[in-house]
Amino acid sequence: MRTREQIFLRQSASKVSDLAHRHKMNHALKQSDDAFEKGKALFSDLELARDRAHAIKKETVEHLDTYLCEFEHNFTKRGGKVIWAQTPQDARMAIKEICSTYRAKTVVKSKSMVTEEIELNDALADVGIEVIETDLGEYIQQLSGEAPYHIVAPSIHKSKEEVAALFVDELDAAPGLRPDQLTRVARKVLRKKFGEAEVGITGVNFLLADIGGMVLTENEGNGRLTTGLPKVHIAVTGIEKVLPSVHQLALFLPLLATHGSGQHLTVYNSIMTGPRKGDEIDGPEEMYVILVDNGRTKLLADSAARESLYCIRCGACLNTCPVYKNVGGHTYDTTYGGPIGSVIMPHLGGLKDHKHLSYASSLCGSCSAVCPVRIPLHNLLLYNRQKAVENRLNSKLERLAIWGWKRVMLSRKLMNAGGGNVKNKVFALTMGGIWGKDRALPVFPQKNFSQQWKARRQNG
Amino acid sequence: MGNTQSIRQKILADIRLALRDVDQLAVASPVVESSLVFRKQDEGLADGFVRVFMGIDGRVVRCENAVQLTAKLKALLERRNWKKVAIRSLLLEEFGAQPDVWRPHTEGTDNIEHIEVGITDCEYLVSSTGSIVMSAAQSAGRTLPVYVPVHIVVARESQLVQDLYEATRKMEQRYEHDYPSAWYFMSGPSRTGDIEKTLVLGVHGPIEVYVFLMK
Repeated sequence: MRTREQIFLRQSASKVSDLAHRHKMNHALKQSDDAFEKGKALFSDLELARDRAHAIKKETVEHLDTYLCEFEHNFTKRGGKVIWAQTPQDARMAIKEICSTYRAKTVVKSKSMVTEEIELNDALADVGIEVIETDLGEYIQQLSGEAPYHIVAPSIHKSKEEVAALFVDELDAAPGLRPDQLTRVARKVLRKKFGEAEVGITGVNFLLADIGGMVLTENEGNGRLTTGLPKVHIAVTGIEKVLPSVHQLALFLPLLATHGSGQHLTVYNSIMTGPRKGDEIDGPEEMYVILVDNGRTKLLADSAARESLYCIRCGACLNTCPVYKNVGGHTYDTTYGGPIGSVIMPHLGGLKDHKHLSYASSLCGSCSAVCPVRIPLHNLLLYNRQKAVENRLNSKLERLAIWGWKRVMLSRKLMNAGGGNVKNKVFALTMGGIWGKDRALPVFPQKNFSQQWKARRQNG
Repeated sequence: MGNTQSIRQKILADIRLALRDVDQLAVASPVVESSLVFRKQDEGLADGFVRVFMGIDGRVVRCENAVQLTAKLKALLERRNWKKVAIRSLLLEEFGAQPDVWRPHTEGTDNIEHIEVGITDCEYLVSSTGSIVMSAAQSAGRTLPVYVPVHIVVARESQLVQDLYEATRKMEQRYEHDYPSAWYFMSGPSRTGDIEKTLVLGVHGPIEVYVFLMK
């Protein structure tokens, strides 16, 4: 059996030479870049805004227990229910139990990466519940039986022709529809599902400790229908999503929107503080918030990696990453792709199976430069590599190569040994495989540095 | 779910253990005031709102007074031939718009699926982001404003606030400790870019959003 690393390498190699893929990704990500540049205009001082966001998340994460308990106290006070889940299984069990209590046959979902993480859809399907993703991109992915390709733009890798063909096959739509027509088709199909569903499941963008609420950010309106029509609303979130105060949304919502989609604000930002109150005309009878740990307390315990819990899942680091652009979202084969995924997955899913992701980086630092909460992402990638080496998870060949490199580098005699031709041959023989067949090998000069230096001094 | 309490205790214990290197007493009070990082425009709240809201594909109709507002609203309904109009607005009621004026437009609105237009109030309008603030405490509730294909908001200029920070402060003051179960910040019509980043308006929510803004 191939290891995850071998599969990753093989997939990467095939994706980077897939020109159609590259064309689609470049087209989509160029539009993200342009929108981002425009979106920044809302800020007079984006750098200061990022500093503040970082400071707020640092304070919150370092007092996570306090803020979670404050959230829980305020949320339950108004009739909401909080369920803590240490493992994906805890979370799935709790959600299945709620669905069974309300005899749910149909569940509508708005976009949620944490439910991907806990593999909720399959678990509900196993007990005979129809689960419908209602975010258009997620719906497209569900229809094609694929995981999301991007944490913010799930179907970023599909051309409009591919989506049109999918709608013909899966929804009996007319062939050759345009994006606006395809959207109408989805609206019509999903409207019906919103009406039928007993339970609505959403993700969470922020938990608010001071008012005991949760925030949902979206552009389409599916989140609002998911939390408006069904009898029960279940919100699933990682424990790190908390903010101390509702007033901090004034900073975080524009930061999230600008970095996520280049908007000043996403169209719908909803704060839910509990189930429908007595004097309100509609809304769910019950509201649950599921607080999922799933390895986050392990991340928290690592004081170096802790900062990765500041993440607000805007996706900006994916958009800017040269590796993500070229290998694509599915190659990572993890819930979270791109730089942030490579940073956190070794902690959430195990170092052994995920350490190779931290090597899939040029350490260019573009991710750290764009992160709205200033997570030092490329430093953390390097940190994961160090951990992998400390745990002796790197290959014997790598250890041998580094040992040899160190020997040579520390010895002028060895560095000067052999002419350029010999060096070229030795390098090609030992490193050629790792270097990659599509990349030209470096060429060593005929004369080594010492010889060149001496010659220059004599001439000059 | 008998063991949820013990899971809760376990997670909280894990968090405290994980944070044992942090000086728990050094609580920096989080910075709340964030208005400083946003660009200020040299324009009034109303002009700012109109500019930003139209920039995100919203439509604004400015009115001098209640009489003008009801007249312009009625003209719009007639021009577009909208018949099934659900009205959930205390402001319109307050204007004493005669029931006769509205009756032709409110037939067949018992079933939410048939409604063509929803007319509602709002809590506030946010000038710098072009956002309409609504809450579940209002008579339109959670679903109607996002379910209808066309959403019309009637508001006074006195409901305008500068930014999100001022809006959440005002909501806090208004509702103190009895918050509505849902508050919404709505910035323009529903949209998606999920198919090749092509902008499409009106995905699950309204395709057109109007604000009738009265002095």
